[in-house]
Amino acid sequence: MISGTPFQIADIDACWHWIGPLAEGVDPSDNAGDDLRADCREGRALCLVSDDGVLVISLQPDRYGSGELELFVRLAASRGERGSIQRNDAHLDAIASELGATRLVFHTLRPGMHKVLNPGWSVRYTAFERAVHGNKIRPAAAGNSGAAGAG
Amino acid sequence: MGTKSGQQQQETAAQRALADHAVNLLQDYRQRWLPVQQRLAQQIEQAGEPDSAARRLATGKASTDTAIAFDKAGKGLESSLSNSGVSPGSSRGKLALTGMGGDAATSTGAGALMSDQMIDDAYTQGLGALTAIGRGERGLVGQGLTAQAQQSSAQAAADASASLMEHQGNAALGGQVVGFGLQQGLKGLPSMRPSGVSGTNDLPGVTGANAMAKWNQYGMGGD
Repeated sequence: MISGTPFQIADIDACWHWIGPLAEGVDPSDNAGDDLRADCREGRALCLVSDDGVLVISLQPDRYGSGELELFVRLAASRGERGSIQRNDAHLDAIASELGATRLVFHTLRPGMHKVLNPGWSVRYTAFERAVHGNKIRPAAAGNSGAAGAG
Repeated sequence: MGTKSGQQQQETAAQRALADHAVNLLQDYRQRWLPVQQRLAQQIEQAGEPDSAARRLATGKASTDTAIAFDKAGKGLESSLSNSGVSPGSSRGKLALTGMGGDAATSTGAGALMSDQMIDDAYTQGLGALTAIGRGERGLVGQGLTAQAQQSSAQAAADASASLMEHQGNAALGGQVVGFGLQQGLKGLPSMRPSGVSGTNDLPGVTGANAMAKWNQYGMGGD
């Protein structure tokens, strides 16, 4: 369909009944998806669905101020068979290319994402964190195991 | 992070303009593709409706293909009958062509039925492609809608070809039967039958030059 890919443009609110659980798998916070839905409604993001799952993308200037655009994958969650990341890599290229983006970017909570990505992906930066001394760490929320995700 | 010399880094006017441009591009992309997507879904829905334009188009094409293919086949048969000594205007020739006319009607009907069935198939495939989209099956929609026209055309040509062969065969067989009938009938008239010849050439006075005229004179009864 769009850009010669299997993806269709979807109304995120109309599809939220099945996108919601996938989004929670990627980002288990209580308000998971609220900003995605708001951005889609206001035209700052686009919700794309296929048999494989869902993509929410937005287009933004390169963060280094190069003047180029990057396609930021806000959410990528699969409900299909394994290998959806590899299968949809070229589709992302097609969409990003038509939009005029020169880079694909996503954030993820999954530390092992590099194991499933196709060649060509690299880590732009690393986030460090540690517990604050003296404060107890709350147990991590369940379900932090999104099939594929960037949130 | 995000600071320079301890000050908050401000977004420049150019960066804001680029961000606005990015949002506009995204909206433009949506506005370009959404109607295409909706039109495809609509076309697939419409193609499935009874008496839809797609069905009428396919049926019309099936009829046209049949007419063209049978016209060619009819000319082929005329030529073939002429070569085999049957006059195109004769009753034998007419019988062969009339037979082909019947086949043309049958083929048109079959073509229309097939076109209708193929529209149903395309509709099913289209819906399947829309729901099963994402499995690399998107090409089936277009293929399904175009294949029916190609296949009905091929079917008409095949029907015409089969009809041509059949009626050529029937005409030839008719000639053999007539010849055989004459031969059997003339057995009772031995004085009229020269020795050493057989079949339709048993007629007295038949030569290569007047064979057609004699054939038309004597050979039509069995047709």
